[in-house]
Amino acid sequence: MIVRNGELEQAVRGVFLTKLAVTAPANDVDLLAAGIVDSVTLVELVLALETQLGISLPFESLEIDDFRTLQRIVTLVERSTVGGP
Amino acid sequence: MNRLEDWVRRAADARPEGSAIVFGSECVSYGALDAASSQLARALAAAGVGPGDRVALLVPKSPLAITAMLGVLKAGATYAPMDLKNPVARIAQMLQALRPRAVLATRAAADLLTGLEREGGLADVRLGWLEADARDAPSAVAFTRTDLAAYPARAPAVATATDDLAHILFTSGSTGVPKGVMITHANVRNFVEWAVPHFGIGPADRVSGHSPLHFDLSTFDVYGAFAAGATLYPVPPELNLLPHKVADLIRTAALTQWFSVPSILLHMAKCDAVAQDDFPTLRRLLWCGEAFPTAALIHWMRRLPHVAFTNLYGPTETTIASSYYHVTTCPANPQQPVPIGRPCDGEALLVLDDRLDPVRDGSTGDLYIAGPGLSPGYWGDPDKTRAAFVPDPREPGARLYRTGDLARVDGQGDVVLVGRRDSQVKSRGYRIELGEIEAALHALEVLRECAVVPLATDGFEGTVLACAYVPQPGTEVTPATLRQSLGKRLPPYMLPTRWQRFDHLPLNANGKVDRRALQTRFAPPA
Repeated sequence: MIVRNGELEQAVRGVFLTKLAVTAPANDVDLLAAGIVDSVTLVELVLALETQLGISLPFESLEIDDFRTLQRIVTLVERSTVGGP
Repeated sequence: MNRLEDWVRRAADARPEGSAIVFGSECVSYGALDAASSQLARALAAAGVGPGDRVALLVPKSPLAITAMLGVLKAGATYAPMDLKNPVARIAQMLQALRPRAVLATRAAADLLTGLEREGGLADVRLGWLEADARDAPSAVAFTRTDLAAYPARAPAVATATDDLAHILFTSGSTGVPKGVMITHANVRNFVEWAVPHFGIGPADRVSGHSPLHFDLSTFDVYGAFAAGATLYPVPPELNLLPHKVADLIRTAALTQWFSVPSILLHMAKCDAVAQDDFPTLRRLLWCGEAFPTAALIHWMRRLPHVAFTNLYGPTETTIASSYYHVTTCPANPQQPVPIGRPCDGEALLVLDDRLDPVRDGSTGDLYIAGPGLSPGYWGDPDKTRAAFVPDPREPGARLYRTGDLARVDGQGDVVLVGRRDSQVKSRGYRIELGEIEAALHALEVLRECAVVPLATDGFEGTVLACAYVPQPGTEVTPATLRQSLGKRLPPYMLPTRWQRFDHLPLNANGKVDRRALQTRFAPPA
């Protein structure tokens, strides 16, 4: 699935809402400090991003800061979409 | 050694340059830790803190947080570490119960403190601001970190007794209010003085500090390391997100001991973060807090044949652990649970019936614990204390702690857990009273009915929480709005991750919510 650039943020917000029952905060809020992303939700989030957006996010390639803010997650998805197969 | 801080002083006298704590690029020697905690104790004393007082800690996991714990003890007072991820309302509940003389905090707690200040939760509390200056402090400050340098690096003389409280650890309470478990210096000393020689921990050891400091297991990480003169490596909490990062830390720090709840070990196994014969320096791996699924244990034991594996068991109320089981050979049957084993020295595990008589050999009964690890009880709550800590019919004046766990003794004389008597569940080692979540949901006043049920998963998180709800007529609620409102009352780990709306909840023959039926209504986790 290919998502156009401006739609990525909405797509990621949609994953938060439908998969984690979380209304994602503003783009720059620290999701880790807020406890929105933790070890359980991270696994669910990664799986949901992979299935919903048709990308691949191998765990060993991920950095903690990739999940720091919504903006960073969008960047991660963007990178995986562009660089992916 | 009478008090927990004495171990630090002893190690500082013997090897002042020895590393006490390594955290990222920060390394604190025993000499520096002893000096800094003494200065903090003097600042606290100057701020009016003394024996019998409580000090709340709002400091993220760091060498500074551990210095703060020791500083409070050296001032003769009792510390209560708080999880900064708690919402303001829950911290306010704990502070209201605790009535602390002082709060020690850093910038990471600024928003929380501002919220508490607004709710009047900090009236008459002195604030020790552990930052260089008071610029960003949310309220008036008794002292800053810079002020500490002016005090002599010798602990103040204070009157102490061995039954003094060292710390108060808050855990989930079934009626909606967190319970503060009181732990004495003697409680901790008893376990640590058994464990250090039992496991052979010494000054050359590099031990993990995986558990959060508001979590009972961390007591062993910290004081076990200090009693042995070893080096503590607190694990940054964010590493838990990515198991490969945890494995990297074990490798680069060349840890010799790992102690944690099983969930991170499961997470690492699932993500294949541990290579064959990985972690060559690691000598022992211990877990506690909940059951480690045997299949995952087999994975670990095959990968690390050079490591000794031990299951520890014990609720916060009996201090760190009350029993142990060394898994000497790799289990053959992945379905067979690992026993919790036999009591640590001085402790007793009893499987009793309703009349507090021992059950027949091999039968299931309620698990009770007796011994010097027993907490004096719950802070400011004699009723809950009387309900959980009962007189021991075998010995006048002695007490038994009712764990709520059901257990039996197997053919080898080892205790095996069978289940729970109540609705307490474990998730990532956290004790969660479902009643506390339901009480918080009802307090939102938008639901007619609700029930929170645990769903077992084969994932590393073990148990996830699912909420079934029936909105009040005329109210617009969604899982997202419910979760957001609930997040203002409960910490993130207590928030259900699955939600389902019902027209009415299924009832059983007794007219109560049929929780088993509800569990089947939730789709299996993805």
